[in-house]
Amino acid sequence: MWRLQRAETPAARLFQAFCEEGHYAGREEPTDTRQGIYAVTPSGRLLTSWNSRNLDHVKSKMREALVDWEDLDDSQRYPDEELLSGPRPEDHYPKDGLVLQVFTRDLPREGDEQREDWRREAWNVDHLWLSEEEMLALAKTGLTAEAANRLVRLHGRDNVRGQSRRYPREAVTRAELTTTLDEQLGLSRLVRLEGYGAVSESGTWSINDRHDGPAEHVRSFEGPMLGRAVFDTVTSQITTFELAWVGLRRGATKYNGRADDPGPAPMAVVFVLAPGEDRVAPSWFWDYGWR
Amino acid sequence: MLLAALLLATAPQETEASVPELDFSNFAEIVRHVVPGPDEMRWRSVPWRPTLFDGLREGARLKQPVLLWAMNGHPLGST
Repeated sequence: MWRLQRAETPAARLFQAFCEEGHYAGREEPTDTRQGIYAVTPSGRLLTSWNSRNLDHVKSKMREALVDWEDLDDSQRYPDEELLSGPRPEDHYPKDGLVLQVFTRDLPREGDEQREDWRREAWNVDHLWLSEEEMLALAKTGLTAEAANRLVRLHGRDNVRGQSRRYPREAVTRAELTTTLDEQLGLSRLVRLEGYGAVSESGTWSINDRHDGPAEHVRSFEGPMLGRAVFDTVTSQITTFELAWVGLRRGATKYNGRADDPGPAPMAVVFVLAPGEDRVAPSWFWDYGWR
Repeated sequence: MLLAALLLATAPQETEASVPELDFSNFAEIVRHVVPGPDEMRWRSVPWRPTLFDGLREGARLKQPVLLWAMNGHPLGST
């Protein structure tokens, strides 16, 4: 979304044009968001848009879009020229490296007084990309210092209930993940992963969206990591991967929905292999420094 | 609730602010607890394309309109 609203790629420019004609058109008090669902032609012409996940509403709007689509001729539906990509994080997809899905969720706790609603089951997903060089190092001895710092600062954030910005590099106080050979099965190396991650930041920020002002806050996450992986020495690929990072989360950020539940409380981050078709870039890819 | 039962059984002295000790006796349970099950991942069974660019280009090729779901945070990652 951030990229669509600000980038200068051809697709982003189309978005910036049609989003102002949809459900955000004519706002007297514009905000910085263009969230919603948009039905558009491949040429970038808006059919309709809305910002609701109510099933009946979604179906109604999709039918409305198809009626409008039928009224258009090809010159309105399709672009005159093939759309050009422009630079995208997805261009850096590490096909010879390691692509992981990263899930976060609260762990059970005694005396849990969370409301009986979606918050109790909340979870989130992000992605971690490792280059081929980083993956080979992990398979052999462990994560490089750079990759370990990246893992901790980008995935130690509490995004269980909502968005949370990444930690700055200097907020990482401990980041290590080492690899030990457990067993050599033919041409496959079964390895054990062990490590620790700690990250902490203090500063001035809001913790309740638009309902509070900036104030002094602290946030942190810290705990051990444990996992296992299988490295295929023929293909030089990691074919099995599970890593859990368990620790205490503390604090809240502006959009992560923790103003009423700042902890400390147990949270887990689990890394697993992403399916091959999952090419969504890590949410903080720009912080990778990959060019 | 199997995870809760397991964690509380192995660490009876836990308080609200404690974390289960992480070892291979509870590793698989923790992974299962955190990774969403099939019901929680059903929305991903829709063959979403990762970017608007991919959707527009494929829409032109297939001669179909495009549905864009745009959130502050990619709906397929870190929503």
